[in-house]
Amino acid sequence: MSHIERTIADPKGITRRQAIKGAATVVVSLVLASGVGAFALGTYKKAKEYVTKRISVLYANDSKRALRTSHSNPEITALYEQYLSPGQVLPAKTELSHRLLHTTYGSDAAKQIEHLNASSVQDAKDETELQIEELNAAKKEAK
Amino acid sequence: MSEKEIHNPVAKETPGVDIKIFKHHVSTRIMHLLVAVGFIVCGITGILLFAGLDIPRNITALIHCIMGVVFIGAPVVYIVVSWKSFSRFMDTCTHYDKDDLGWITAPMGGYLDPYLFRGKPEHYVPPQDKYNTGQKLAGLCLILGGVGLAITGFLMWANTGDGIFGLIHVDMGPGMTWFIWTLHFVACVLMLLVFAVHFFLGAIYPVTNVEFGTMFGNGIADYAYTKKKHGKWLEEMELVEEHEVSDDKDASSK
Repeated sequence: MSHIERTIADPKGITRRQAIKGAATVVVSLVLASGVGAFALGTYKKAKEYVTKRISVLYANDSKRALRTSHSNPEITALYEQYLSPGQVLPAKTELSHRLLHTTYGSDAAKQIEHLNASSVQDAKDETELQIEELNAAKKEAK
Repeated sequence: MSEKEIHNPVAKETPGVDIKIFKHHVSTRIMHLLVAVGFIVCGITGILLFAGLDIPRNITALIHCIMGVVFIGAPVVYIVVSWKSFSRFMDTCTHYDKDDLGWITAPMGGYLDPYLFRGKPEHYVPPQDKYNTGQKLAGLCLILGGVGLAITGFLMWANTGDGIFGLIHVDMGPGMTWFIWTLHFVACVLMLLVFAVHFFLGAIYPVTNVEFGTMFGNGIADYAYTKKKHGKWLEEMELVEEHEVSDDKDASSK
């Protein structure tokens, strides 16, 4: 006894519609890829151009100013000499300037608030005076 | 599911004729295997990188990129090598008619019948093509998602450090990097959802997991299953070969 074994499958050829759809998929994919790539690079190029122009304008404006840096600003140096580090200009070195002018961000902010609540401005002033005295004594010794 | 009466003489059940349905060509199966491996490895490494776990990030990222090339490269080679199969697949995936509407309202090919209409008679499901409506929609999602992942993945790789092995370097800036990264993420979520359903129905769900053997085996589909699920496709099929087999020889080969 025997039987027939028959194998069937998709037609060998393809129709015009199938060919068009296959080609359209490839073309659309390539256009999409090129489009997104060009958009990404083009947008960055434009943004970079804008930033470059903005930088040059800021530098040009800045170069025309009489006072260009904070350490050469007489009002700032007077603030340090008369209040933040009495008798001297010591930015970022005294407890008072640190307390009044410095801040922290993100997860460190809670610690900073705790630190500020634990002491007063007067404490910072007292500590600053001590720092200045120590500094002056060291200067005298060095001389 | 309702069976369709087959009119195609080569696909019609005939006494004494054993019909074998050659569903997936060897190139399709190799491509599918490479895509599956590429996608699974990319998915795992991508989730590990996204989760920010304490892992060797450089190596993980390199594996992710290389398997991404496999994931995208395999279909690209397939399109060139098996242009006809690809065109046929695209035609099927983009062709919708009243039978597809019937599949959706069945609901979802009758897959949701046991959950939404428990104890009631099964809905009529119109005969389907080589791929049913759900598979066609999934196919479109996978193509769209794959193209999206390829474009954004390429830009992300080229934008990182020295670029692609120092050969291609693209500078996109922080804003565009964020935008491209977000597109990559959205495409990934879409692909993972489609993959989850595809894997469940193809490999786990008892009614349809016969498809797993067809795709990862010899590409031959079961006749009864195909007639039940893809009756419309049987009408289009052609004869590949036909030969007489002795029942004794057939029994010994089994």
